[in-house]
Amino acid sequence: MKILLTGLTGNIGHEVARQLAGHQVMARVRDVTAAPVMEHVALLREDELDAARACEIIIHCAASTTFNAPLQTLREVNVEMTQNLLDFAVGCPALKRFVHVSTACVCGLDGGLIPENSLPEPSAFVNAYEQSKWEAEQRVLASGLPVCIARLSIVAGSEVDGSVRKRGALHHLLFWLWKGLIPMMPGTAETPVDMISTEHAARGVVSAALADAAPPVIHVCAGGRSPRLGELIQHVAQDFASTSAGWRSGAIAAPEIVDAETFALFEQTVQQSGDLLFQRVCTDSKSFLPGLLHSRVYATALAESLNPEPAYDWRKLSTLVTHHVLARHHA
Amino acid sequence: MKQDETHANSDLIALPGIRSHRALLPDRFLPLDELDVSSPHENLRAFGFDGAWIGDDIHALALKAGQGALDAAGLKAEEIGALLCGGALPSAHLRQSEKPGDTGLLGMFCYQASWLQDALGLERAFISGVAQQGCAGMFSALRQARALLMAEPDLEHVLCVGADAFPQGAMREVLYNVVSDAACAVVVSRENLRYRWLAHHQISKGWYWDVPTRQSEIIAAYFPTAAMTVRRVLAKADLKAGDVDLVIPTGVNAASWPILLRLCGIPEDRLFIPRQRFGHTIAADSFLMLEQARATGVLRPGQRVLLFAYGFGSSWSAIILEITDLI
Repeated sequence: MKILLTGLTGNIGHEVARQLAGHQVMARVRDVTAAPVMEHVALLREDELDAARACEIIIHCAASTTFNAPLQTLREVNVEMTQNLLDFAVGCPALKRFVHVSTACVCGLDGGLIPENSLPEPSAFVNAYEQSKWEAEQRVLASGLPVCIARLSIVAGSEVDGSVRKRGALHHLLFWLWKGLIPMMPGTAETPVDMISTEHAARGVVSAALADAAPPVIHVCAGGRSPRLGELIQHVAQDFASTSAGWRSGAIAAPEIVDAETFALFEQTVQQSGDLLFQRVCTDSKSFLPGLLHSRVYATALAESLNPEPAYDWRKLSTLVTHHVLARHHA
Repeated sequence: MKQDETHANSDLIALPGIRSHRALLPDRFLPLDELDVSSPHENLRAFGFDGAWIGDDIHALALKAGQGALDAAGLKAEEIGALLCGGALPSAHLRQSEKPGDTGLLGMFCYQASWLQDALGLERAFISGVAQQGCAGMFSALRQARALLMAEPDLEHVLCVGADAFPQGAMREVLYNVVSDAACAVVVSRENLRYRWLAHHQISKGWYWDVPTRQSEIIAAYFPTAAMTVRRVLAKADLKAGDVDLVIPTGVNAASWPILLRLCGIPEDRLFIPRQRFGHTIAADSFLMLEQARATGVLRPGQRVLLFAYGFGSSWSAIILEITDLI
């Protein structure tokens, strides 16, 4: 297959390209020198896109994941760039599928069971990133092209060695947590925390690209197999104990899991204090933690019909990623 | 039977509790404008701080508080068997020699407890200091006073005194708290109690000994450990969160108390709101608040009252008292 890929240098693009070995991949990149060299991947600069007119599949992974960037900035990257690629796809005569990589968080603050189909605009978004990705989905679904939107949950890192190509909110939070700087988290002990490995994310995207037929939306998520917040914190605390005397001795206490109002009071106190470090911790937290207040489970049946999942071991993944994040910090 | 369970069981009425207390602020109040603080004034006001009470002679204030507690207990000085000084600052345990000029090393052995014993006329008392627990030191002094009374049947009354003052002209803000000078004194006895002692719990974490280095970690550790301390003291007293009738706060950041109560499941309307705000006074906060609560008729017989304090070191400490008919 001839496949046009965007986002090769991003969080999952490299792994998607690796799993596409055997196919002819053309990767559009902004910085050719920063892209990984792979035998089956030809690099295209932004102005060389016409060379990919003959592609049969487009996989659009590129996006800005700067959660706290202004909405207008995120729209320029996540919505308008998607529209540009959709416009390009219209002129690709051999196109069989356009796979748009999105986020499970397009449901914003809505809770409950999130279906694998087009979602109405939620009551509110946690951040502008979510909104921009929801808006991009509307463009994709309205394009009239043979599309499949692959919504990913939190891509924690590699299931092989825990490595992370781009550190996100989860990784920042892990570090603050390890330092003993997160006193409370919103949610309940039973709140599911849906996270997947980089390989799992790429498998979902590749299966959506290569399947004979694909639904318009799939959830590449852990779904009902996600860890609960309480057990995840407990597990991470055990991992921290191996690298931190404070955690080992019990001096650093696991964060309290609190309701929205209590968390808001705490945030307000931090803002009032003007404490710069805690404001930074809160800024990182705000892009991630508020979603935990709206307990939800992502339906995954359609994604699993394309790509039957192997056993999911969130404990192993969490341990690998934790050790990777801390090793990078110590390095 | 747990040691701390006294409740209203008549067999255990003779267990030690609090007989009287007295807490005092100095006469001089300085508004924020006249204090050396680092945070913007509007931030400090939002946290409940309008200024600070500044004392010229903290030892004289301690003496006055000690005498006040004795008077309130209806006891003579010679009836006190032990004096425990529970100030937080190292300077709270020393009194300057009256000898003019340099006293050399001998000046470092002029203890506040010795002076207080002499000044109050506590002729039969032995003296000791309870230190190194910051603002939780007074709670620890009370605990040790009670333990002494339980261990030594001949001992009848213990006087605990806590008095702290910052040096003249010193910075008055510590981690978003404006600090006042103050003194307090508490008589712990077996009889004529105003407060039965239901339970005490303290968690100390030496991990946080280096306050300047770990100040952010200390701020973060405050809430989870405070909540843990309160849960444990409630368990020791065999009480549920809703059984607490009144929470006596300290003078630290007013915004922190609703958060702590929510973490512990204690209804927010149980928090005592003082009429007079005096900032954070290190050792005396809880007893200044308790006096206000008593003076304004908030305290009633049978009420279960929770006191909580955190001290650098770090120690988190909570006491549950039951108000008696003598209140």
